[in-house]
This record gives sequence, structure tokens and C-alpha cells, in this order.
Amino acid sequence: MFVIQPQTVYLQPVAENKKYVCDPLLWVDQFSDEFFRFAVYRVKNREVAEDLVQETFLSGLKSLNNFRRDCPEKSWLYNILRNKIIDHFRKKTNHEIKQSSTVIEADDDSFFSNFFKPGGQWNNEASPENWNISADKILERKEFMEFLILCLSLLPEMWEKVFNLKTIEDLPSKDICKELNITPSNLWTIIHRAKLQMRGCLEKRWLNK
Amino acid sequence: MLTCKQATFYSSIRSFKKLSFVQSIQLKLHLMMCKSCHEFDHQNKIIDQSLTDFIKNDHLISEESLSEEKKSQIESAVKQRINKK
Repeated sequence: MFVIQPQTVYLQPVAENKKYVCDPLLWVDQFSDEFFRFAVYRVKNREVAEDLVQETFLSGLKSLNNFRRDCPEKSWLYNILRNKIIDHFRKKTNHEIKQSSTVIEADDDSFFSNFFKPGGQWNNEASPENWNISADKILERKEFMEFLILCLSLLPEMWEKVFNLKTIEDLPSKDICKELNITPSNLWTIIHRAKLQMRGCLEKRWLNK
Repeated sequence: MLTCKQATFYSSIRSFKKLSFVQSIQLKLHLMMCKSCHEFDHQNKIIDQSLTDFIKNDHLISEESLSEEKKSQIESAVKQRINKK
């Protein structure tokens, strides 16, 4: 079992003597839409996200005694939701891990031959073009984001999961390995392949559309 | 001298794992000399940064919301649980 990292984003500093109140009757009105959006972008499924929001509120009620009033109830509930989402990924992973074991074999020449010549140089048709864009400007481009999410979703499950655990949950690499039951060298290979694939996908679909 | 395959490997895992001193020098040298890998490295950063920003911000600005039906369903589940206490 891995330990969930303390979430700093949603926990605000505590003012001296300040006690927060908690009113479960207002939860749905106040938080459900925001929590839903938070969840739906992560699990990419409306129904699952809806259920996670409901479970979050119910778990919150169940453990109301653990609410220590030293942070806003929203932060406390956010943490519950995050744990629910990680649980969801974990269940999904255990279920799928057996089927995807072929993707994580240490080296697969046929995959890499799509990108590189036998000597390790780029294939002409796969070599990166100049995107002619800077890292901060690109964020204004909503269209780019849409293609990014599309290309992410086209990755094999296992690779996408690595990205999820890294960028969404910000887990350290050793926890990702533990979570997915893979060795560090499997992890590096998956990341290498996923990056090659993502970049190629973006160039093909977004740049050269 | 690294091959492009090795250089893209180091470039890809760099945001997950600190490279050794020798590895990062080798990568730097290669990126200076190889235009394609230089692009790859740059685009890699764009992808990483965009994904992180997307995850951090997008749920706050998106228009999506729960269906009213589901909302009232959750609301009654919450009320039911409260009344049980």
C-alpha cells in the first residue's frame, strides 16, 4: 500500500484560533459541481465521476468526527475525493494489469523501428518538425489542449496510467512502480515510448491537420 | 556520443528522474548538435507543462456540471444518511 502524499494545493494555512464550521446540508449546493469537474477530468467518465462525488459526501458524513475544524470543510472533502479517485485508478489498474503486460516488455524493436533507424538515428519521416511555438504561448491555445487530450487518450492504457499517476497525482516514481507493479526500467521505457507516441500524434493531428 | 534513440530516452525521463551528471552532459552535447532531438526535447517540455497546467486549472474554468437529477439524488442520499444518525 502506498501512502497518499499530503495535498498542499487545497489546504490553506490556518489562522490562529480560527475554527471552521461544517454544514453537510449545503455540500451538494456548494461543492458538487466543482468536485464533479475535478473528478470527470481525471477519470474521464461522467457516471464514474458522479458516483465519486456522491461517495465523497457520504464518506464525509461517516467520518464527520474526523473533521478537526482546522481547515475549511472544502479542503477536507477535497482530500476525501482525491483518495476516492486514487482508489478508482488502483482498482482499474489491478484489473487491467494482466492484459497489458505485453506492452511493458523491456525492449520492443518493432515499436522503436517506427521512429529510429537501426543505428539509432531518427527515421526521416518520424523526425520532429519545428512547431514554432513557445511553452507559455501554447497554453492560450485551447485547440492544442484538445489534441493533447485526444493523443493522451490514444495511448495504450498502461502508458496513460503512468501519465495520470505522475501528472495528476504527482506520485514519486517509486510509488508509481509499486502502484502499477512494474520495475523502474519498465517505467522509463513506458515513458520513453509514450513521449515518442504523443509527440508524433500531436504533430500528425494538430500541426499537419 | 549518444544516438537519437538514447537522447530521446534521457529527454523523456528527465521530468521523472534526475539524470546522472554524465548523462545530462551527454544529453546536452547531443541536443546542441542534433536539431531533431533539440525539437523533441522542446516539445517534450511543452507536453509536460501543458498536461500539468490542464490538470491543475481546467476543472475550475470548465462549464461542465452535474445533472440536476444526479444532484437531487445525491442530496437525498446525504439527507437520508444525516437522518439516520
